[in-house]
Amino acid sequence: MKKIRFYSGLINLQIRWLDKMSDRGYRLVGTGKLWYEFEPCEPSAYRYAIDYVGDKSKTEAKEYADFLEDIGYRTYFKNINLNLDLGDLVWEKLADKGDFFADRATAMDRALLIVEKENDGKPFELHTTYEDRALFYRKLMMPYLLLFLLFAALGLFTKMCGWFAVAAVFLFVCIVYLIDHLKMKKLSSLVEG
Amino acid sequence: MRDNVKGGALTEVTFFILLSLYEPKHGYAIMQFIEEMTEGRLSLGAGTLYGAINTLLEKGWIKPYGDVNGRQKKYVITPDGKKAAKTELARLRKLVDFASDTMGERS
Repeated sequence: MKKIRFYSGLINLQIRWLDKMSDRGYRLVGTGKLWYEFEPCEPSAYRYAIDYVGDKSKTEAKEYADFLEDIGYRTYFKNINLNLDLGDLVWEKLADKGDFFADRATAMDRALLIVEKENDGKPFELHTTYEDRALFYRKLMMPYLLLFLLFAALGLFTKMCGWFAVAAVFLFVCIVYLIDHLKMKKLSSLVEG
Repeated sequence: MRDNVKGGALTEVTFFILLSLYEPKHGYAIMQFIEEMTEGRLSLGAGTLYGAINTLLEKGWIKPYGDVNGRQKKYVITPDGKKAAKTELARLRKLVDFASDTMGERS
């Protein structure tokens, strides 16, 4: 069964949706740019986590995925899907402009790593120290910050309000992750261990 | 992992990973070791473990073990890693002695 689903990047929602699919008896077996593919499974047999690997090179991301597979998890790469398709379009356009952007565009195409493990009743967390979680949110924030700046600049350039509206969406996501980052950072300095 | 910033103390996670690797282990076995040794108090996520392993490899405190190209990569502690673990043990001993004296619980 293929499900077409957009996600604006708030990965907590994506994790919740995948867990819910598992509860209903559907297990993830594949991902594409716009779709997720499922197969029937025992209800609640699997739990999901998502990591951000957009900052890693293709080889580094593959190494990390292999490490997780060795542990016994299953992994799927997924584009970060910046929604509206506008974000993706911009990345593709910029990819023609030079290596730096081409690298970023490829990175965004497989920026998320969906990780599946058998449900053992315990919460499934990939990052377990506050310091590590703070870093995770900071990295996750970066593509949105960059897109916000791009669209804000586009708005200033063309004097069209539409671009500012798009920029605002990215800014919103950025702020959500920034708050998460700051929360974790504070905890990491307050709580030991 | 923020080790050796203040006073050379290791983080608990770092110290446990070093201890677990006195015998060669792969990632999953390290996670299990830590969970067992702490009776479930410290449960290490795979992402955090991966970051910690890479930091320790960079520091030269651990190294890949056995068939490097095969699946299920194993790691083992190096002499430098043992030195760091020993320093940590000495630091903890001093701390325990001091705490026992102060609290009047020296056995």
